[in-house]
Amino acid sequence: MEIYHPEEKEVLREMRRVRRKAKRERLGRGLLIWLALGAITGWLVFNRFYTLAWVQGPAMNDTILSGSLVVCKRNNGMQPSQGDLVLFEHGEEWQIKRVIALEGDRVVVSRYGEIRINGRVLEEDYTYGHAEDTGILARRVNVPERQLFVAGDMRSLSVDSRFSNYGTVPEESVVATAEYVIWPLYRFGRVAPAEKTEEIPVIEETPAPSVAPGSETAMPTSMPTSAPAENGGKK
Amino acid sequence: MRKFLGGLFFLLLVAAGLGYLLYPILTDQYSKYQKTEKIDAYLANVEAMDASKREEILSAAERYNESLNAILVLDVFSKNQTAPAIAQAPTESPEPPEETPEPETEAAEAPPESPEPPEGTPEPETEAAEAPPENPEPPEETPESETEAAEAPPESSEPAEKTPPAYQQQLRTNSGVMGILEIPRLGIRLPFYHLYDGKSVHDEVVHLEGTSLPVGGKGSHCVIAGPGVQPAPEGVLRDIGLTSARMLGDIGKLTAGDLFILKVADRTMLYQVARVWSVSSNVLDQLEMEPGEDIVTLMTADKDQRQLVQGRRIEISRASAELDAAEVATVPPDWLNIIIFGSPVLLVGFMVMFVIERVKQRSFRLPGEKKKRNR
Repeated sequence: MEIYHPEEKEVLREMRRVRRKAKRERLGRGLLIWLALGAITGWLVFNRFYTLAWVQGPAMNDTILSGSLVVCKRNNGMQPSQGDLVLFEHGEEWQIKRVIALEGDRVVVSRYGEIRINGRVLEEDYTYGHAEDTGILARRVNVPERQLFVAGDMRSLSVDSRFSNYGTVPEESVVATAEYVIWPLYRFGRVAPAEKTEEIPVIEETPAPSVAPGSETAMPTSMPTSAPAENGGKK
Repeated sequence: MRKFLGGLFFLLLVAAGLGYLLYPILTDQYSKYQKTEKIDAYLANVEAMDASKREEILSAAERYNESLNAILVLDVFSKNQTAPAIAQAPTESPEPPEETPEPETEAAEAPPESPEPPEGTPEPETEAAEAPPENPEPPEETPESETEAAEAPPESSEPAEKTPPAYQQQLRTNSGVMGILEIPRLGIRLPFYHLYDGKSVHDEVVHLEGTSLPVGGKGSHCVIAGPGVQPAPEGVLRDIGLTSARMLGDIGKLTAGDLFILKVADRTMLYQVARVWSVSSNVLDQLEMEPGEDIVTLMTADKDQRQLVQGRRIEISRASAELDAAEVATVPPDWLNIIIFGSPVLLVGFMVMFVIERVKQRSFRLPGEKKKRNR
């Protein structure tokens, strides 16, 4: 009986083939396992611990811009604390608002939008802007048990517990607390109000053209040159 | 070697595909980031102002608005109007656009209390060439004849108390921004500027001179125009049809009942979309003031079409139902949640697989295979 003795080259080729096959199998198996693991964890995390929320509306500007995708931590019955951004059921929809006061607190809303909690003025450094445009009547609210007093950060464009027809929000309706912004990309990170600039930045000085533009006569320009401004004074 | 090249080709293909998909999104995000910085600077500026200064700015703008009794909307998107506010020597025949005001003569003919030329008056070409580089729409109480305006030397007399300052001085802040336009439903938040104030309607949102200033008030009609979806910078990227910042390109998606917001100085104005329509570029003069109404029209260009969105002011204090309805948080579909929360695990998994591969590669070396240099 004759035995075939393969050359060394052939042996190596065969060994490489086996090795490649093993690698392919390994990769395929790994991919499958990790995909499954990823999906299971993703599902578990989503069901038990976190949820995404797509936030629309102007009320939380500039903390959460309209159109943001936010990661919210499920409360699972935990009591929210003051300052949290809570995702809660409001009627048929869900909304995100900031917790201003907890049960038992005495909240006074002045006509000018100022909020006092237990006599102390709430420091609002969440946003620029004022709440004077809103038509809130001066109101005194004693936050009932298991209820929350919430308000949007953009006070002037938010409808929230300051309004009598909105009222306080029951704690059971709180689903989650907003923690991270993942969209828009330039706001990626922990939910935080837009940083207020300390000094006043001057982005650009208005270019004051010294020569009157000739080719623009046909355009509705009025340059801040001295001539038109002073003609304005003529009567 | 061939295998290596094949792999490289495949990688490049994937990268190109991803780049093609992501480029418009990323550039749009970047542009929004830049705009946000401008907005923050503006808000900081306004907040640092004295309350009396803010009041003064707004009331000056209101006086200016009172002096208008018709609005004039030019098609700022047409090519003739693109010149920025760079001083140039008067040329022989600057091509005037079709709908240019002829301010001086018109003003002379108009009744004394209307310094605004009626809209849509075509300007003869010669007149445009001869006209002095004057303010074509003097917001003055008294109109002047063309000759007067041309010959009058710049007088040093101070403007009367009541006369509102010229357009370019209106709503002027350090940051150069005039105000902020927000469209919550589209996630739009953009600063707007004075037109020709070094800004062109082709790359910034601008308020159109000749229309009311955006401070609200009955009988005002403010027109704010901005570019549509911006193409990618000149070159290959543009040639393959990529876009960058979306700007006002999506306003056609608004429907009646949507809200948009103007913030000027510390005034926040809420508008509800009443009408969304588009016209061809030469019928813009439909826009008119309506007595007793407070209207803002947003305008953007899509080639020869002009997309217009008209909103009517609703008092914030009476709009609680609308504002409440606009405020919605929705949970995205399950698969998106699963992908996002599962992706860290997947990432870790890929890293583990990579490490395993490396280890295996090292331990199953065949005779004759060189040890790869420590990589």
